[in-house]
Amino acid sequence: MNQVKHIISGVRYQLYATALLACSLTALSVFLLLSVFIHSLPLVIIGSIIAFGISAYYTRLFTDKQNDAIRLIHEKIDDTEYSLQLLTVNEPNIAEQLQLERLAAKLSNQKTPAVINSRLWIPVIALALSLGIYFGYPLIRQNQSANPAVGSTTNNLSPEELAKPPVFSSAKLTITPPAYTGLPVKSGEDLNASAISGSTLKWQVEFNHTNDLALKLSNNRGEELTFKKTAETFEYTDILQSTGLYAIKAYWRDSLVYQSDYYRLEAIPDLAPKIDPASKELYKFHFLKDPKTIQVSARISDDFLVTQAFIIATVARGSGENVKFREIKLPISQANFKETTVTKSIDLKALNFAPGDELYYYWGAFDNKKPEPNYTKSDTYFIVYKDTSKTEEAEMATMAMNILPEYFRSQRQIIIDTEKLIAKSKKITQKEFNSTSNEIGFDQKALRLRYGQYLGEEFENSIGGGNPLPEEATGGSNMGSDLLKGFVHAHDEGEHDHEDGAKPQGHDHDHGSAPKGNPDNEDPLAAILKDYVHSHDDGEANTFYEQSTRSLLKMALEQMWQSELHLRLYEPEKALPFEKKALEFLKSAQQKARTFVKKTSFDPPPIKEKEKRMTGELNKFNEAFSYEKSFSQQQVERLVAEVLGIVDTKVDAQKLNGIQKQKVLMLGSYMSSKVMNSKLTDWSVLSLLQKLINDKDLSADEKATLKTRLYQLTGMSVPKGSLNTSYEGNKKLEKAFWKNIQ
Amino acid sequence: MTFTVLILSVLQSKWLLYLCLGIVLLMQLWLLLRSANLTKKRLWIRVCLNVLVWLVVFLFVFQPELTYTSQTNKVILTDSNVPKTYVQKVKDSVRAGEVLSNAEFIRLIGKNPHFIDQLGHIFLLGQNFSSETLGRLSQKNLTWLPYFSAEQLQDLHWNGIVKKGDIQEVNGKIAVGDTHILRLKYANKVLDSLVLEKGLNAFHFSFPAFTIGRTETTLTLDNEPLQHIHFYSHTPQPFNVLFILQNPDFESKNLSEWLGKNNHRVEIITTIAKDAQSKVSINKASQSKTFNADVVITDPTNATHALVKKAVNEGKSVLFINAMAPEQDTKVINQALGTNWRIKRTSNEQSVNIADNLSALPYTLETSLNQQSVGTYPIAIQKKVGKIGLSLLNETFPLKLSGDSLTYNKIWASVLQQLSPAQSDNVLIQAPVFVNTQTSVTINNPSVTTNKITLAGDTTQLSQSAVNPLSFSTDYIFRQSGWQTLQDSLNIFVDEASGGLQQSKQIQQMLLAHQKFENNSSVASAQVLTTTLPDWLWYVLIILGLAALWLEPKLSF
Repeated sequence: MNQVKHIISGVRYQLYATALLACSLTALSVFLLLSVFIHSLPLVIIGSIIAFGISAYYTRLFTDKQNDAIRLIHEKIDDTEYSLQLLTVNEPNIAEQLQLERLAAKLSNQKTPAVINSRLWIPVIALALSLGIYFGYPLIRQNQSANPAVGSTTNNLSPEELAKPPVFSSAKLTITPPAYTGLPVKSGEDLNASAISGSTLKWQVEFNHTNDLALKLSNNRGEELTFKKTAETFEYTDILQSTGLYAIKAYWRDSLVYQSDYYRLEAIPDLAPKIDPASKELYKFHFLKDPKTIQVSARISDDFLVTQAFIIATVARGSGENVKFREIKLPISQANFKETTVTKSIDLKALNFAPGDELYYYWGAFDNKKPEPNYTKSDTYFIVYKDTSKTEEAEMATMAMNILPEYFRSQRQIIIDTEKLIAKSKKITQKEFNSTSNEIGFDQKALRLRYGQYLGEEFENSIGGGNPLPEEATGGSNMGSDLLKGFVHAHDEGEHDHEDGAKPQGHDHDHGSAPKGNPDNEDPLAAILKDYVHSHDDGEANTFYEQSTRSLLKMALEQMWQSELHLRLYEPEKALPFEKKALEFLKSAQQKARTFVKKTSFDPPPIKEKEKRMTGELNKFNEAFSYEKSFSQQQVERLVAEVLGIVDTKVDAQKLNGIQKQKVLMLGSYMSSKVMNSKLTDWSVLSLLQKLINDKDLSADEKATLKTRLYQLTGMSVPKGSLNTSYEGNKKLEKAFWKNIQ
Repeated sequence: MTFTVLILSVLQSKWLLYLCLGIVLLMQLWLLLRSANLTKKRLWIRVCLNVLVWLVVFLFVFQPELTYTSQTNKVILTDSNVPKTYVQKVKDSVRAGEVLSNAEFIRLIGKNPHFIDQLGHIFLLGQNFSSETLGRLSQKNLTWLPYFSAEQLQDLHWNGIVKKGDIQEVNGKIAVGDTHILRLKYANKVLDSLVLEKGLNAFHFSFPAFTIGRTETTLTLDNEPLQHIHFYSHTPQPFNVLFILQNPDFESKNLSEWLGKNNHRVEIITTIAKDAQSKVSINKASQSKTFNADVVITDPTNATHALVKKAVNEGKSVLFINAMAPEQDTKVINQALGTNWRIKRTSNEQSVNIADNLSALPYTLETSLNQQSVGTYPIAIQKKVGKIGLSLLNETFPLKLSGDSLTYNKIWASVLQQLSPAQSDNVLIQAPVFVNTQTSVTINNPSVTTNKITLAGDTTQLSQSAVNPLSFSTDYIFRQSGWQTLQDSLNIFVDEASGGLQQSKQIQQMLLAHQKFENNSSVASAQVLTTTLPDWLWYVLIILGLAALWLEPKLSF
């Protein structure tokens, strides 16, 4: 029995669904049809609801479909025996019950039949038609209207909208690089242009209407270029030559109605060819035995094409004023390449390259830039043909240098040596240490002797004791001459015999009292120095130094004695203070010996300033001497501070007022000139400022960036110090306080 | 009306609830007794269980009270955020007899309005107390023990309104459990920072106000924002600087131009010959004819000049530059202006080099009570009625010529900062300002004396300070958060009331007000207190009862 009921309800629901579908389709078709012709949405909706109602009436959507369902089941299923009506009987009699049971048994395996109204195609076709009209009609209209009138967008607008300021709709930038570059044409909505300089830029800007509209291209300095109006778009074409910034401004009846962000124009220069010679040696010698052809190679490249490459070689011959030059251009077979390695052999024979000649050559290349190609040349290379027949002076000059004495022991050197010895005393053996100490002692002695003779001290061998100098030093000549060998102009070595007689011409002083004829007894060093020192046979009486200098020198010698003593005793540590003292005395003796002469000149009497000042005559003087100046230059720091305040003040979706906008604009124009000079690094700040001007909201990140970047421009150099709270107190109290606090 | 009140009172009282519970019990029993297919034993068990659960629910509604006696000599009132261990610690250390929570206190008060009279010394632990509680505590001996969890700001102050170029200071306290870095940031720029050690840290940040208008900076703890610091920075008033010179010199010319470029008005009076003066005005205001100098810059020889003396007496500032012979110069200044400059020679050289291209006279200024030195330079300011500055620097313009304009700026900006005399219309508001919390607004040295001030679209009365006739103040409670206007051009940021800072400020104010009415007499005795079972116990009991009811039919015995 349930199965029977199930079938009936299934069919009934199918009927309802079909009816509902038909109604909806009808309503939808009416909606589409109406919306093509009527522009008011409520009317269209009302129309479609009415259509729905009418079709609902015809399809009997809201009536009970039980009977229809039963009728349909009777039609579709044969076994029902037209007895389904019995189901509605309230109290069936026995016959009816039996029939019902039979029916249930028969229908138990039956499926719910599908009942689709055959007339459903009508609304479907109606919908298809109305869809066709909905989409097709505007196309037809467009074609029709395109023919008679130009400017469909304007025509679409009502006069009210034409009275409103035009609204920016789109902008397109087409970049056409120069033909020689072979780069593709770029076109897009991005108005930031970055192209090879010489590219043609074409802007196409569209507005919703163009009545009374003038469009300008403006740079950061406010200079403007006018767009050309073609039909419904504005066009401007120009050639990109240098880097800069621009914005598009639209004026409508003398008022600025649109201003774009600042966009970047970046002119990428066409670089000159690059030449990278293989040889890094700029200066080379060529010898007789070398081959007479030189292989040179270089890598030449360009960002586009190299049209021509060559070598310029110059041969220089002769010397002094008689130099002749010959220039030859050696072309290279490769041409019109982007990058290649060029090898060329230079035939020196052909160039008539002879010994003593010089060859200079360099690489050159042109690229394909038009109208003026770029040109590059490499470093100049030198090849010098060595002329072996000449000896050069420079070589001889160096020979003389080697005669210098290798070492000269000064007091300072002795100190250094001693310190060195002390420092490494731990590392070396006792024997070595002792011998080094002894050697320094010898040096000290030699120095002492050298200074000693200036004081007329007797020389070593004239003292009764043994010869302190090492044996070898005393061999033929004596120590003194050895010591000073490097310093004296010893022309006549080995002519000691005539020494006494052969005195230098310039020295006409008579040393008559010098003991002659006793070469054994004579101080040999003194003999050498005789010509230089002014010693009147008596050391003590010589007039070389004044008394104080002599005493200083004597004190120095004393210290030297002590120092030598300790050095000889292998106690360099103890010797060191004496050495230092000696040095000190020597230095002060040197200073003493110098003479300073004070320059005498006119020494004016001091001016009594107070008396003299302002006592001039004041006849021709303008008494009301006063003038004003004011610094009207932009105070950027203040402007930045104000803009920072504005950034924090601006709430989302709120427009800036006139003054605020003015401030941001001022900073923007200042910054843009700065950006120009700083090669577009502050770019982001500028575009953010522009966003502010255009009343767009900044995201939190953008705000932070802007604030951080602007902070750097505040130039706050006020040091952190005490607080400077401005507060005015009671004058009397304050006075009393400060009076009593002291 | 009376009827509604009656209904309300009936609804609010628990009698309606008891009635419902009674009906529920009767229904339960009726339903149980109706279901006949139960053995007698099971029926009894079930009835017992039902009655038991009903009883628990009834008692929960009834809230029976347990009575006990306790010392109420010292009582701790805690806020619910304070952890139990900390409460116990405080209880032990103050030897308090009783610890009451906020809710418990309200309940006890509700039971017995005179309960409060019997309490002795009350310790408020934490700051989250309802105004009802605080209101009840008048005439009681109170001690506030604030409680802040770690990494929570305990105290924070800054200036709500500053002038551009003034130093904004942010002071506060925070306790941290680990080493952290506290930063004060403007957008991504760190203005000041401090490494916090474990424990309580007091921090002091300062930076010159660099904006004009509303400014938002953020206090961050390891990059986590802790508190936004809003302040309003307004345009500084330019100073009127007067140069009185014996003879024109390059140093003062440069300085005057620098001042001019920094938007100050400058007038230079130079004696160029006997009875002839040259006068240069920089940035002269077109309207004003008189030039009232705020700062006078002059040579020490002009210390006796009438204009200088007048300026000092009026509380303006005077700066002496170009000292040639400091020993005599200080003597002259001390005599003329009553200062007490004392200097000591430090070197026999003509001048000593302080930095590249910067030399000073070979003297040091000896310290004095009313004296403050400017940075590390040999410049100091002495405070009398006005401020008197003395610079021992030789010349500073070589700095500028050599391109070191930063140092030049630094020297003169700090001198000017310290020399600047008190300006008019100073608005002093200590931030943070909270909604619904009393805020003190002080206006010092107003240019127009008025007894009203408009703020946040409202007008309030100003009262003159008894001590300082130039100071006016008012207490105002802001009712709206966000930027609020103050007079015609200033703004003040009012923070949303949230967190411990606002609560502690409220308690502080309450305690301050309370001090006036504090009544030390208290009944120091043991008294009978009541307590109720905690809610969770009721919850457990009811759940247990319901579980038993659910389990009982499943068990077969």
